[in-house]
Amino acid sequence: MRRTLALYTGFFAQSLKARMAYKADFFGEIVASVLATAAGIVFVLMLFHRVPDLLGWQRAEVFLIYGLSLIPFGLFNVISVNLYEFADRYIIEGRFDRLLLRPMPTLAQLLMEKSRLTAIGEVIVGIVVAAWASVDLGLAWGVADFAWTAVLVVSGAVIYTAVFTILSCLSFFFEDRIGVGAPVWNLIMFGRFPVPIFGPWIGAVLSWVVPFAFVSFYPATHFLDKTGYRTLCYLTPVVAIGIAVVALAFWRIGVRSYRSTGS
Amino acid sequence: MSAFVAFVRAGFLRLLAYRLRYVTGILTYTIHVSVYYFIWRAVFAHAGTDATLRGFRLEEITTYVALGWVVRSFHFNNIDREIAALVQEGHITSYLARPVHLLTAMTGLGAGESLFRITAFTGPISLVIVGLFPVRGPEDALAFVLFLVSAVLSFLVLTYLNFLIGLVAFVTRSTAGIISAKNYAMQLLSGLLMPLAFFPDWLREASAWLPFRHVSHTPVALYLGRFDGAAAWQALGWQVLWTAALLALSVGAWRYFARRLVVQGG
Repeated sequence: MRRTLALYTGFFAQSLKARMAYKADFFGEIVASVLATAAGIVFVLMLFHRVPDLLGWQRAEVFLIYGLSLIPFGLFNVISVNLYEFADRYIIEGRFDRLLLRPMPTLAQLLMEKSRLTAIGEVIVGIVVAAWASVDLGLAWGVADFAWTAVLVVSGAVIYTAVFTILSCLSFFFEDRIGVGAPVWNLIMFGRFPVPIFGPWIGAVLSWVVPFAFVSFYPATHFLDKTGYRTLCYLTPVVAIGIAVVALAFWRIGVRSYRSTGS
Repeated sequence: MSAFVAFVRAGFLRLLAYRLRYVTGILTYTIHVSVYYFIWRAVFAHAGTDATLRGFRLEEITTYVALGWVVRSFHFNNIDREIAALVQEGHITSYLARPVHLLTAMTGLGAGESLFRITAFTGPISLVIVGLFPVRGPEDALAFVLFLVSAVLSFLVLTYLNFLIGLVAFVTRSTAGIISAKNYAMQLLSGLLMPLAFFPDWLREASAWLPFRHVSHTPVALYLGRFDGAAAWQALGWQVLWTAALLALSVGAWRYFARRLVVQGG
């Protein structure tokens, strides 16, 4: 574990150095990532400018859920670049052989080898929005609340990473010409709003099939005066661990059936 | 003209290789429409589906948003990214030597892509959306014809805007951020996510002077018959004017940057 952390620091420093070669470019991209994230927030702001609530969910409550979802999303985006390019770069171009030769878990290497550091912009926007919403709600944060937020952020990042790792595993077995990643990627949007507004069917999918409702919505109800979510709320870390175990199992099966292209 | 047709053909053919991507594209667009449909349904939860908010009933907002995505499924292209790549890799020089204008080539590729999209993508998506969401028909036959004309113009407005954004690559090294910021800003300002009537007053007034509304709002509002009589022709007139203005701007910008082009000897 310690060695893995040390290696990750090394990989991370390497990415940072590579990006810092073009400083203006790097900061420009952070600004752009902030702007892109802000557009979604502006939509919600404009919506609540004209309507009082969404099925009983107030503006500040929606923003707390929205802001808290952006923090794990940003962290996930930092490490996830290679998951999208896995089929092309690692399977088809044969780079996966290299990972197999190194004395370190392959999935860890894959996630570490490349970082999209500019996604930190999303984390910053998320913190600002969540802080603003919690002031608006008049929340008094205790130690337990900060601890729960840490659990939420880590669990959320784990859930995102696990879902997209499972999708990447598909490329061990067949060339993905269809691109199943994109629709799943867009499901993330549902998880930024109070899930009940999407009705029972979508709610069930987001809870038990692609558990994006556990990234922010359920755990965020810890801070909100709503009844009926207590159990689901504190189930969050269990769901995160559960899907991580499933993802690791899929990954192991995939690696075992890996046949190099030989190129 | 024959050069343009050749680029249209090329734009159409190169998408054939990716035709399976459109299968999941249908799912992606359905997810987008669902998110906004359910948000608007929640907005109307208290008032009831027959209530009117800022001149819209729920059915009209649903149609406004769903049809916006249908139009997008037809006119979308990545010309901005393509031009940026041409500039960054230096291949842009080949367009200085070719006897065809870069804008003609890019519009041709975009048109070919849209021809492909309209058959492989827009058709199926329309069926899925009409099946899943309570969208309404056009106001009348004239409204539908005006909608079709306006949708074609929306392709030109979007293509010229993308062309101009692509040329930003002459100024900055990294364009991915600018392009994605433009995409998000345009989603909002074009009325794809929310009818312009819901904008704060200052933004609605400002949007009247911007080209973005002609990407989504104008065709969809024409379909819904939200303009009275002559106002419909006026809206279309503004769209034509913006198309012409952006065309002139694109030609001018390309001339400006082509003259200042410096390429490292590859």
